[in-house]
Amino acid sequence: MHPSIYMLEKELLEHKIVTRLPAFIALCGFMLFVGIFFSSSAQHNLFFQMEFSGDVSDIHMEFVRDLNMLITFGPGLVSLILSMLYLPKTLRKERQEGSSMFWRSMPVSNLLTHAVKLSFGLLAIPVICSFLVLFSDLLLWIINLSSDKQLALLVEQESLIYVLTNWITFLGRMFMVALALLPFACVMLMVSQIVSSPLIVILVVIYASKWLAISLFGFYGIDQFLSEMLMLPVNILFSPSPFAALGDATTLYLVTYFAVGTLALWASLNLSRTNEVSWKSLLNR
Amino acid sequence: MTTLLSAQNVTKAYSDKIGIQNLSFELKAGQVLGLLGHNGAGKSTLIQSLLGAHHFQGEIRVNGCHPIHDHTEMMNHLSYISDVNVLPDWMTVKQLLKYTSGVHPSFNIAKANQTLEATDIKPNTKIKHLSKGMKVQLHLAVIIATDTKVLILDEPTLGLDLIYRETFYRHLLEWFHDGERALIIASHEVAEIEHLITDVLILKQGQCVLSESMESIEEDYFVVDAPNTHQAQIEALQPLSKQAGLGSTKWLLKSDNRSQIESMGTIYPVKLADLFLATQMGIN
Repeated sequence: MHPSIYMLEKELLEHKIVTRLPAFIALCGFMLFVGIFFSSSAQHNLFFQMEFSGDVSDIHMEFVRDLNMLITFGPGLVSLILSMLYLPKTLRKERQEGSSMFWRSMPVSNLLTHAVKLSFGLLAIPVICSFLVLFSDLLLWIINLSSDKQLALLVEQESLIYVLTNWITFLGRMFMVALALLPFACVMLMVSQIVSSPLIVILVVIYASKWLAISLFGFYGIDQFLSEMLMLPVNILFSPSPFAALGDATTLYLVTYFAVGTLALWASLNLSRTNEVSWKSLLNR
Repeated sequence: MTTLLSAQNVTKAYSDKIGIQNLSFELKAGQVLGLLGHNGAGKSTLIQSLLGAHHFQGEIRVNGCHPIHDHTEMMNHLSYISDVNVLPDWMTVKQLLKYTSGVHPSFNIAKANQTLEATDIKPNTKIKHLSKGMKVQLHLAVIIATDTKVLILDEPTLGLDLIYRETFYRHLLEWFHDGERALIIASHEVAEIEHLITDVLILKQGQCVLSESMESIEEDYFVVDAPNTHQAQIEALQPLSKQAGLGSTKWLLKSDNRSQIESMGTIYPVKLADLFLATQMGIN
């Protein structure tokens, strides 16, 4: 097996919250499921309006959409939060706990280390969270299957094919979110090596550059660029069509955003070449 | 003998001081270099340079690899154990071995397990629950199971009891004699490593004050225990150090003067600890 598999496994073991938080949510969902499954009154109360009215009006379809949005966006949001917790922490944690000399003693390149950490933060975490989508849809499908009535709220979960396609659609959407997050993730990896609170520093720099540009030069370009690019992953996650959200982004901003990401990745790779991490060491050859 | 490590004019300057200055030495297969020096003499700085853990001036090659530019390739042949635990505390022994087997091409997990079977270390124990001695044993077991050519030990037995020290050095020597390897041991326990080393490099304030083989040291230096009546004659020969006794003094001198001194007192072979103190403190 390729070393990256073992490195990904190590990340999984090291950052247990990545599995524990989705597992906890799944457990809560399962307990809710058990409650609904064994209580006909709960089924009746939850799906009362649908059962009673018997037609599928726009309002009822909104309920269906809301439920399915919760199933999709809930895990998506959990995934985003976990990625945001993992990426600024991963390189710094090794230095803080004193194990960086051990990891450096392995014949693994910095590029592979970065690739693994980015893959874990942007792909592995969404894949883990995607099981929440699959799990929720499966539970609702089982409720639908076990009920002798047609539950309008679960009209989508009638088919197992839907359960699988919804899961694959979620994975595709999260892949696009990962792509939109990639430059920001590179910036986080770089900054996390230099400062002890990378997210706070990044937020301060973002707001300072926005307001300074506006107040000193009356220039709104930086504000628009930052707002558009930082909201891009969120827009892709919540938009009905992720492609449309990506298409709506200004091309110049996208190019600049990815150029910044490339520069940050280069800087992060250079910083992690030694244990001597500082802006000055970045320029050492 | 193959040159496994070479350092030429290695200098490390910090913003406020010089860590090491113009250090040059070579290490061939079969050599065990004792790296000695007072606290702050530059031992750790030199080791960090050899490991590519910080930038430096000069040229270092480990098995032909530059410590920073060819770091990945170099780490196939170089290992390091320090007095501070660098193993990840949150891992279990089993997880550590599995990870190493996955990323280190020459790691032999069966050999590591075999080494650990002779210890009290259990595979499912978390590293944070191991004692300091066990952590060092585990780290050595990992290194023994790789095809490491150069091993750097930085105060490896600091804080270990005598039994752990004995086991550690036994395993180390078995591994060392098992192939074409070189070893660097940095230690304050001069007497403990004296019988192991073939060469010595003594640093003082970042500079090399002595770099010789142990054989040369035995030939080049000697100790004479002479009555104090000869003090003036011996002092004229510029001894390296002296140690006052009851009515006599022990002098450390270069062998050039041996013929003039022999009749004045009893001659002893020099101990590394005496030479180390002489280079650090000079004559008082």
